Amino acid sequence: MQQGIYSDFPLKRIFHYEWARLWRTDSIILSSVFFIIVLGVGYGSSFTGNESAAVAMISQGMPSLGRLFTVFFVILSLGGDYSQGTFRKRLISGYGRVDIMFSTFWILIQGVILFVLLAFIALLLTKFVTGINLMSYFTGSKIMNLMLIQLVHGSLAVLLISVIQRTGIAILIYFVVGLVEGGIAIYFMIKLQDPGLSILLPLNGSEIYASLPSDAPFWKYLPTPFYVLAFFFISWLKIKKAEF
Amino acid sequence: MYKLIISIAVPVILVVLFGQFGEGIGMNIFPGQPQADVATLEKGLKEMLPPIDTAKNQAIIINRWATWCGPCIKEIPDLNKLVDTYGDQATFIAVSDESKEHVANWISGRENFEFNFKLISGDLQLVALLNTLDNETKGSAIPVHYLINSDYMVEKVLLGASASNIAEIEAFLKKKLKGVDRVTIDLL
Repeated sequence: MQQGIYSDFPLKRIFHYEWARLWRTDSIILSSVFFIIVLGVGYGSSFTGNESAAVAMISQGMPSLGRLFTVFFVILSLGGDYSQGTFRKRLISGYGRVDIMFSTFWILIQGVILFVLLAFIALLLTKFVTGINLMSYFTGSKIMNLMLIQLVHGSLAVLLISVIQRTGIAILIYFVVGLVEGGIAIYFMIKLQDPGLSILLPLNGSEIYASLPSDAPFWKYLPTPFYVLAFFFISWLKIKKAEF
Repeated sequence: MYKLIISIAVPVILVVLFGQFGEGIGMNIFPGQPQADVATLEKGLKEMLPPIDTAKNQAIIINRWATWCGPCIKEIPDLNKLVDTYGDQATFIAVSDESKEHVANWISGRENFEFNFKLISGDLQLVALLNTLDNETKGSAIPVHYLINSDYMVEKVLLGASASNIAEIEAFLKKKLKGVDRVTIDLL
């Protein structure tokens, strides 16, 4: 029997549940690994002795790290809920399916903020230890770019885990999507001589979208938000009908 | 119902906002600190490039290339023509992320190959810096041409090997090298 779709379940309790999720062992391990890697990358790049070069290296590496860990965080968190029957238990105790959707959205937002904060703290520590000021990475624009890329990759993660409900397979498919997109991007670049077409791809496109010049044609602003909308909408359709 | 609307609409709104106010505006949330903005990166560029007499050289052209990149190799004869025509008043640098040994071996294996740019190979810090300055692809696609003035300000970044890019580089050089009467080069 399908449980209720909408509910009066208080938002405060949903936030409370999801906050507790951050203190689960898998979240702590994931956060610690991310923190140590950023610390290591920051410390390593300080060996260049040139602040601009070190910041440039961090600028190159941070979006890759941020998006990967956000995807892991979302898939591991939700995958655990599916495999352990957490959603089933919550539905029985008065949760609606719309609350599951809201939780899913909030997990992504938490993941995005968590890894930006951890990167901030790690680079602040690097500054104190090495004297190289990597904090200059944290301009408003860089943070927004990082969060944007995390959001897009995380949205795909939401879709994958909502549809597949299996952690391992969802992570595998995420990487397969990345590989396929890489192949298409190379085709655009070599065969069509227009790497800018990669903006039509969900993941590669987000990175181009993140730094579109102000005079870019209007259509280039459309694909990435459309993909995010589609990922969440399809996830909702799946959550609405899923057997938990 | 509002939870559903929030769940689906907020990520899209955030993506649109971050896209609109990201790299283009360059908001500074820590005023007073040196920022990783374009000016800082350009300062780094000045430190990392070989010393250039900017009184004599009014423009710097940096070409990001690699030995494995077909389009990069194909456009080298056109780039050499630019060096022949403007080389005495502009600096031409080609940067590859491959090792010096690899590039040297690759060149020595090709009898008639000539690349008249100053070659810098294996300097990954410089490559990272250039990639960051390339807003469109962040270095994921080459060749890329950086058109830089004598104050080390990157005025334009051109992506890809094409006759129109070569023409644009030449137009930039003509503009910067004021008073220099040049003959437009014939493209291959």
